[in-house]
Amino acid sequence: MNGPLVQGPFVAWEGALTGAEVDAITAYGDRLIHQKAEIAAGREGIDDVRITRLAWIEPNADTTVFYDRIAQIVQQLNQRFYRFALTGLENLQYTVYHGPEGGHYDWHIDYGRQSARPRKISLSIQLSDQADYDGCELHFQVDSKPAIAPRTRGTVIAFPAFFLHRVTPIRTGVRKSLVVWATGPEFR
Amino acid sequence: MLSSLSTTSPAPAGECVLWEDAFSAAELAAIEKYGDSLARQKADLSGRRAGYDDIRITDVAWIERAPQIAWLYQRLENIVLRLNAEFFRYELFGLAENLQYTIYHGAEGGHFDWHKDHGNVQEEPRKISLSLQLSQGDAYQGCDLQLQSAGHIQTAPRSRGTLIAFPSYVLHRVTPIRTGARKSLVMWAAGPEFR
Repeated sequence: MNGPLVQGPFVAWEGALTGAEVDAITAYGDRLIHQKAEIAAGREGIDDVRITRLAWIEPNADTTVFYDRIAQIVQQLNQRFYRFALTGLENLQYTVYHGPEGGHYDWHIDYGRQSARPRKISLSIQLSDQADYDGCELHFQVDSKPAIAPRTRGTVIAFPAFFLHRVTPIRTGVRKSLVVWATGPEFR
Repeated sequence: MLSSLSTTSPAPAGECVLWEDAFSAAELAAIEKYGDSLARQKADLSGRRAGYDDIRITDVAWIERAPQIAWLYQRLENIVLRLNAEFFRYELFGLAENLQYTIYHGAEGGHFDWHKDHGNVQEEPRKISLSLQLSQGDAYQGCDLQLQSAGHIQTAPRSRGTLIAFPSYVLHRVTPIRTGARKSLVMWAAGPEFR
């Protein structure tokens, strides 16, 4: 297992999750998606900003194992790289981008000042084999050229929630990911 | 349209806080006169590299904390404290760096491509970035200060005397100047790393 490494705007941790852990999350997430996927539409109900299928993984007896594992990863990353004051995790978001639907998510930030417990660290966990899809890259903009996140299955990509990022349109196949937000008191 | 907003006190606008009359006309004239009198040097940012002009072409002079300009530091410190108390609520040390007097020249195609002020290897991280418009908006073409957030670009008002303050992690740029000259005062409030 490799350790987490800073790669410009984000921290990438390849092999943070084992194949078995990814399998378990994917199996659980796929069941939810099958039952109650929401299509996250963009502003004004038009799909020009975002098209994904997503389901919320709520904390319960079946999912404690996922939450514990993710919390452990967030704590390690926070101690080592961010040192933000954190109080918890939002519900885990299982996200699926489909080639035929042109799944994507245009430039945005996750952090918002309105919230009582703003999102402070965002994590995107790659759950699909990179050979399973084309496009659908996670990009960050910190200067004039975007930085591109690694795609290997099991990789955790972490970044401050105030960084601008996007997911480019998927061309073929399916990309699954787990999106995580660690929250806490307002930045100071 | 942001530039049509008139504020007598600081007000949030998109990614930034605007304060249109933080300084009097006499103060603006004094700042401009002092800045112009300083030796100008070509912008030489951390790790200047080949092709750097692709990213930035400006003239800058650093306004150090000298007795004859202490009033300006004092005014700015009060301004930052007020903005911080009302909007940002960050832990701050103060204006840790010298003030940057910046001139973009039409003849040079002055500009500064997308970047953030926070996140470089400064000992005292920049947390709030402030830009004070010192030229009349019609004294130049282009050279807009723009902030980028969720997929849209916010153009800051150009009128002389407008102060634009934003968190230093916000992506921003200055578009190429086409004609004229734009002068501005740029400063940063620093503090312990965000937490």
